[in-house]
Amino acid sequence: MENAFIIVFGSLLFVTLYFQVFLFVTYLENKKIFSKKEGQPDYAYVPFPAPLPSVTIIVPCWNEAKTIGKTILSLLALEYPKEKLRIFVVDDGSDDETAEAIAPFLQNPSVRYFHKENGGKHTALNLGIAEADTDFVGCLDADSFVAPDALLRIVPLFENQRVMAVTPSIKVHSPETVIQRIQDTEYTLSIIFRKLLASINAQYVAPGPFSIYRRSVFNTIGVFKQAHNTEDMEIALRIHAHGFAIENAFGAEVYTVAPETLRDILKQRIRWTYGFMRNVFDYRRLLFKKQYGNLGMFSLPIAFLSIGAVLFFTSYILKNIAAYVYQKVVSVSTIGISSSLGNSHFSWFFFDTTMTTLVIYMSFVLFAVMFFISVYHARDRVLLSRGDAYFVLLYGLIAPLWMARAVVKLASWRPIKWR
Amino acid sequence: MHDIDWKKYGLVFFITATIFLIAFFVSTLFYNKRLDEFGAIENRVSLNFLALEIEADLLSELSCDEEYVSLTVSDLEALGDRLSYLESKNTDKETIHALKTQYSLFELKDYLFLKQLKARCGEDLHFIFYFYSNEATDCKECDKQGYVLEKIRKEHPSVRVYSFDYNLEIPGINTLKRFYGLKKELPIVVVDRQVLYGFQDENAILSPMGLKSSRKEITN
Repeated sequence: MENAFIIVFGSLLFVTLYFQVFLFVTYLENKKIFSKKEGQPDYAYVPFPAPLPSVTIIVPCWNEAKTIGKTILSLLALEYPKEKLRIFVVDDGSDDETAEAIAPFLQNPSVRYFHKENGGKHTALNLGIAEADTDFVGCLDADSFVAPDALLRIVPLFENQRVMAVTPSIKVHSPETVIQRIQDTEYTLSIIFRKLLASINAQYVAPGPFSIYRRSVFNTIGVFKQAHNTEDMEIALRIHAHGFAIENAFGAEVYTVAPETLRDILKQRIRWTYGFMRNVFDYRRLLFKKQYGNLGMFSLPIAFLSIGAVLFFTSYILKNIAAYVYQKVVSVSTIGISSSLGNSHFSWFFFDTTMTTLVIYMSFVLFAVMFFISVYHARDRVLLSRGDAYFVLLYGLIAPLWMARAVVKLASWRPIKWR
Repeated sequence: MHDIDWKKYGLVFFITATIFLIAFFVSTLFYNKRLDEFGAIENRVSLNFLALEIEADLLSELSCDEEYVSLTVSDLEALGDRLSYLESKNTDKETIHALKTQYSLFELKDYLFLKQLKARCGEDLHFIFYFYSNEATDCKECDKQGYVLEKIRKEHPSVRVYSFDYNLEIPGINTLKRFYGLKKELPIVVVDRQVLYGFQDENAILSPMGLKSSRKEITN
C-alpha cells in the first residue's frame, strides 16, 4: 500500500513537472510571439490583406437584461467596416427584460433580433449559424464585452486555411469581489497558457466570449451540440478530430463578467470540469494518437490528469495538515498551550530536503517564473495586483472543491444543469 | 493538424528526469551531511565521557564539580531531537537502529555518571526511564507521554529523562527491562525506581520525586 502510494505520488509529481517544463520550453520557442517589434505600436497585430471578410457575431442570451446592452454597444464599437459586420442577438426564451434591453438597438441595420423558445445555448448559436451568410461566424456571451480592435486582430489569423477557429485573450471585467479578483489573475495566466497551447495547436476549448469560426467549418463538421453544457469544448475537440487547427489571437481582448461569489464560481466550474471530463470521454479516441498532434499527446491527457493530480495532492496535504493539527491538539490538551508553543530551536538539520520536497520546490520555482512571465506579457508590466495575492493564497483551496464535486457528479453520470 | 515535435518531448523528458536526478543527489548530500553532524555530536559526547572518566581516574574519585551535570545534557538533547527527526523522515531502518543503539548507550552512560555524582556529592538529581514504541499498535499514548516528559525535562533541570525504545534489543536496555521486570504495557515510566504503567500525567510523575507541577491543572 505504501509502495503504491509512493509510485502514484512520484508519477504525478513527474507528470506535473513535465507539464511545467514543456510549457516553459514552448514559451522559450515562441518568445517572439510576445515581444514587441520595433516601430510597431502594438504586437500580435498583422493587417489582413484587403478586402476584409464579412463576419456575423451571434449573441445568445437568456435573461441577460443587465449586461446585453453593453455587450451590443461594444460590438457596435468594433473597428470593422459596418457593412461587413452583422450582429445577431438570439434570445433563448428570456423571461426577464432582455427584449426591452435589446429594443433600442433594433434601429441599427447591423443588428438583428431573433426570439425562440428556450432550448439551451447551443440551439441559440445554431439558429444564428443557420441565418448567417457571412465568411465567418463568431459568438459572444451576453455578459462579455469586446475591445474595439479585437476583431481586426483575430481575422488575419484565418489566412492559414487550416485554421477553423480563433480564440481571443479573455480578461475579467471590472473585478471587485475577492472571487472576481482571483479569477482576474487566473484569466491573466490563461492568456499566455492559451497562446502557448495554440502555438502547438493544442487548445481544447474555444471559449464562448468571442471565439470566431470559419462559417464553412459548420458544413464540414456540423453545428454546436448540447455537449454536457460545454459546447465550446466539444466544438474545439470536433475541429481537432477533423484535423483542423484552432488559433489564438494574443492581444484581441475580451472582457467577461466573472462569477461574484464562491457559490457562483463553484457552480460554473463544476459545470466546466464535469463537461470537460464527459467530452474527453466522448472523444477518448483522440487520446495518445499521434495523428491528433499535441492535443492528443499532451494537452488533453495532461488536462485530464491534472484533475486527478490536484485531488491527490490536495488530499495528501489535507491529511498532513490534519495530522499536524491533531498532534497540536493532543499536545495542548496534554500539557497546555504555553508549553506546546514553547521554544523550538532552528537548525538546518530539520529543514526538509527529501527528494520529493526538493522537486516540489523546483515546481514552485517554475510556477513562479511562468506566473511572472504571464503577468508581464498579459498586463505589459511586472507589477502584481491584489488579486495575485488572493490567487496565490486561495486558488489552491477553492479549485479542489469544484474538481472534487465534478468528479463525484461524474460518478453519478447524470447530466448537469447550466445554472 | 500539427506535427509532433518528438525531439521536444524527449528534451522535456530529459530535463524533467535531470531535475529529479539533481534532487536525488542533493537530497543524498544533505542526508549524508545530517549523518555527519549526528556523528560529530556523538564524537563530542564520547569525548566528554572520556574526559570525565580520565578526570575521575586522575583524582581517584569523581569530583563534585557542578559543571559535570550540564556537560552532556545539551548534546544528548540535540542527538535525541535529530534522531526523532530522522526517524520521522523514513530513514532506513538499519541506520536508525545503529543511531538509536549508540544514543541509548550514551543515555545509560550519562545515567551511571550522574548516579555516581548524586551518591557522592548529594546532587539533587532525579532519574526517569521512559520506555516507548514508535509502532502505533504498541503504544497509542506514547505521543502524549512524550509531551508530558518533554515539559518536565524543560521545567525541571534536576530531572533527567532517558527515553528507550522498548523494542530495541541491546544489552543495556535488556538489563534495565530485566532489573525492573518490565512487561510490554507501554508507555512505561520508571520514576526514581518506581515503575508506572500506562499514561501518567505531570503530577503522577513529579509527586514520587517530591516535585510540583508549574502548570495549573486543567479542570473539566
